[in-house]
Amino acid sequence: MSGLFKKGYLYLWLLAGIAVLAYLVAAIPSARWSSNITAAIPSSGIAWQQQLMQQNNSSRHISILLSGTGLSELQQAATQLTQQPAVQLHWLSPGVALQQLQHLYQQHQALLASPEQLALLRSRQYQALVDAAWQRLYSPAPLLANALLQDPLLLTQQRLEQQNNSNGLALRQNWFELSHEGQPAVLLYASLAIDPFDRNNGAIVADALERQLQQLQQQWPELNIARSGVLFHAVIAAENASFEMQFYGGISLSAILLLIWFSFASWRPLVLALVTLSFASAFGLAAVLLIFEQPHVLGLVFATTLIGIAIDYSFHGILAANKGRSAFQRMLPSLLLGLITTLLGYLALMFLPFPILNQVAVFMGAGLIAAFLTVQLVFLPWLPKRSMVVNRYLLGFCAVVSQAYCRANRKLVLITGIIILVLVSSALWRQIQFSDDVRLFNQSPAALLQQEQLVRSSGGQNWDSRFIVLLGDNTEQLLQQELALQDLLHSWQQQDKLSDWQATVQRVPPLQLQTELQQLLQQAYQSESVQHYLQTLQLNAPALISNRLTPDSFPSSFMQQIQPLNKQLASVILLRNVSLSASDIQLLKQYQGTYWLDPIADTNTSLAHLRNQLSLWFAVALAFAVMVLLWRRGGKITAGIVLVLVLAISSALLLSLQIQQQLNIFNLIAALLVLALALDYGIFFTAGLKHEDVVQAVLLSATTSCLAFGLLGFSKTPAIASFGLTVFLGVALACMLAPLLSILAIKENENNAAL
Amino acid sequence: MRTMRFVVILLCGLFSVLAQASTDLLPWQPLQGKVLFTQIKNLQGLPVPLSSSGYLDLAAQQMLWHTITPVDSKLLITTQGVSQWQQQEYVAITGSEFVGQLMLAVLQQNVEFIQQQFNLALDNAGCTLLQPKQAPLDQLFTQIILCGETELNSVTLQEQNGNSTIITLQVEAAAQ
Repeated sequence: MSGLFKKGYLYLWLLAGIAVLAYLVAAIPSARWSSNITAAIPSSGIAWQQQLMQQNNSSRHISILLSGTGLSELQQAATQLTQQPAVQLHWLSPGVALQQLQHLYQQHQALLASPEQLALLRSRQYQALVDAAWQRLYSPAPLLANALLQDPLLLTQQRLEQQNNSNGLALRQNWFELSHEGQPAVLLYASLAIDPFDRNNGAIVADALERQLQQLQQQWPELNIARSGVLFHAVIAAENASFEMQFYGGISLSAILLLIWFSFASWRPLVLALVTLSFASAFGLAAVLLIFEQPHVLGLVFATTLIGIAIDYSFHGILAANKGRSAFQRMLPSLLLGLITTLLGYLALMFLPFPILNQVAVFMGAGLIAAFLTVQLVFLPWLPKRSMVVNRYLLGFCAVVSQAYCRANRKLVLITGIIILVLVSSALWRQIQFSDDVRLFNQSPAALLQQEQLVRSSGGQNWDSRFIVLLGDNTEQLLQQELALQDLLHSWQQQDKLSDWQATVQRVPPLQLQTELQQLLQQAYQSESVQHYLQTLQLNAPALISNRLTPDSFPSSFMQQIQPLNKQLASVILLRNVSLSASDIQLLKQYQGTYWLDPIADTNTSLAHLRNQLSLWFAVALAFAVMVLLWRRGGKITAGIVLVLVLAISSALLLSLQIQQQLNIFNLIAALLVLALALDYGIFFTAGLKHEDVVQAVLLSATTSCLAFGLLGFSKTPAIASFGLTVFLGVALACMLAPLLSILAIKENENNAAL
Repeated sequence: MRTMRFVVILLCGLFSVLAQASTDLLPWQPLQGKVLFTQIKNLQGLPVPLSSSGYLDLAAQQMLWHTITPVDSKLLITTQGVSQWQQQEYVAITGSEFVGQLMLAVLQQNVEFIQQQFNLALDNAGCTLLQPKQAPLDQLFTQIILCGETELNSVTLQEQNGNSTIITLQVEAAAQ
């Protein structure tokens, strides 16, 4: 009856596995994977700032700089590029946009004036305005239509001409032309209809564009093409992550299977290991797809480490099942305790405000539970007692290692361990230095960064990543707030604290100001100097204008700096070449609803905060482990395990510090994982199991873990490389130190069961 | 092989004719040094034309446009655009890049620029008509008329908005 009952569980589990696989077959093709770094990193705490950053559409713009040939070839190439059908990509026409803007202002002349012109009007210094108008009238440059009739002092005309031009870029209908290092160049802008971080759509658009660019390159071999925009970086990041996931995952799996074949030379353990890994991966992936709407590709790279841990369970299961039911039953509680401690480690990641780690935690949690259940339910029925022979060289090696460890002097080991721990900890304490740089998440290829820099230095998309945000209830309020800020921005510009800024109020003055300008102009038209000017030109003074220039009059592309935020509106002021001190930024607080936003610094601060949280979680996880161990293993063994854990982790961190020069949050995440893995080793070495058997299982487990994590150390993404390096070092050290725990465990085990 | 040679010769001939045609339509020597000018602007809604005079100082890459009467004002015209002399410095006028290029190209007879931007024709008076081919010049000007026998001595800018500007030129040495 009991056998039938157990078989029922086995079939139920296999059925669950098949159901999950079926779900994955259906869900994977439609899954939306993200490569958005900002979505992967911890966000700042303020809700409206998060929303604003999510709505930020600058990531949907790209720039292409063509150079290297004569201007006419560049123009031909640009024409060809913009005329080809583009997938989800719209080439911008700056000339058309300027034409639209001029047409709009032409209909609203005498409603826009510069701050200097307004100051002259307010102080009734009309002669200066008259002189400027005469100067402009005698210039051969064309005037706006009806300029003299609507705005005889040409205030709007001159205001438009004062606005900063685009850094020496010459405007053409569909692009800008410029001179770069004495050579002609053409700069094209395009907007994307898709989220560039959406892996599938982003790749489709980037591939289509790349094909068109390659066609141009073939047609004009001397053509230099420089790309700028989030799309290019996001697609490369996604490709890197995908490649690394497949490459490192593939190598890990192959090496593990080879190791199993070398160790057992039998198909049964191979099949069992494959089933365990397949179930673990399938359940982990299904859980991520079910819980997260748009999982991050970087999370999957971290998650390849599941192979390294799930295979540990297989080794313990294979070795124990081969020895028979009783050995298997004695092993299971330790495996369960190992699972619980590992899950606790990952549970810590679950509660951190860090989307990518939440996804890793869910993947690993579901995967490890599935691995444990597979071992528990599948191994015993599928691997009869003594159905395989362990490689004799492996057995011999493990026996030698085991004897060597068992001969060690207990006191000497303890004293040496404590001395080394003191030395390592103090060295780590003295040298420890953290870097909380968001760039750890992604490292674009040098060639792409160079292209990005080239486009930026040529004048394309060179607004600073830091900006000012104003919050208001309506557009008029925002424009008035922006207007109030103009003097401060101007004074910063004069002090070389910024070279330029772009605010909506520069395009559309608040209604209140337009009304004031009209009234001031009516006064001016009555003055002696303006009267004389008008009489000379034989013109009548224009009447008061009742129509107004409003944001609604503008095409939406000109109003992108104002965005809705729940019940409020946010207005972004873009800055160029900005270097403000903390006291400068403090000045902004004097202005109502005005905020300084530095997304990179904010994210770095969030990372630092997260690092502190993680350190706390680390201490909590260690304390929890100590409590469980005290309960199951007693004081001395617990002290021994803690000594091994702390020594392995601090040594791994110290070595990582020496290699990387600085530690980062990913070394700490790795430390948390080492804690979970090394605890498993400690639990098995103090479980009263045969020392030689445990050495076998732990050696095989550690080898596979070192392979899986060590390979990640070669990742192109600094975050993943840091993580892999520390786990590799920690696991290797824990594997070398853990067998010493048996010396401590001999006496204690007499009083404790296998657990 | 013979056919090929014939086509090549025919094409060479055609290009040579076209090049000759351009030279015929733009027969003037580039202006250099000081040139006196008189400008008459006819602006929509303005009952009287605006007249001014002064001199141009033409160098290879730039031109000083110095109006002396009725007001003293200076403009620096380069291919980067027009800049106005204000408070002891030249301040760039946004959006004037093409006007700058155009003025320099016309006065210095930059044939390549003119052919790229305009269709060329002769009018009844023997002046050359330049009709803009593309934006943004076609949005600013309907046509530009260049007149003169051996030297370019008048440029008429006819704007899309109905305004027109006639600039009469006289090389200073000739004026003396």
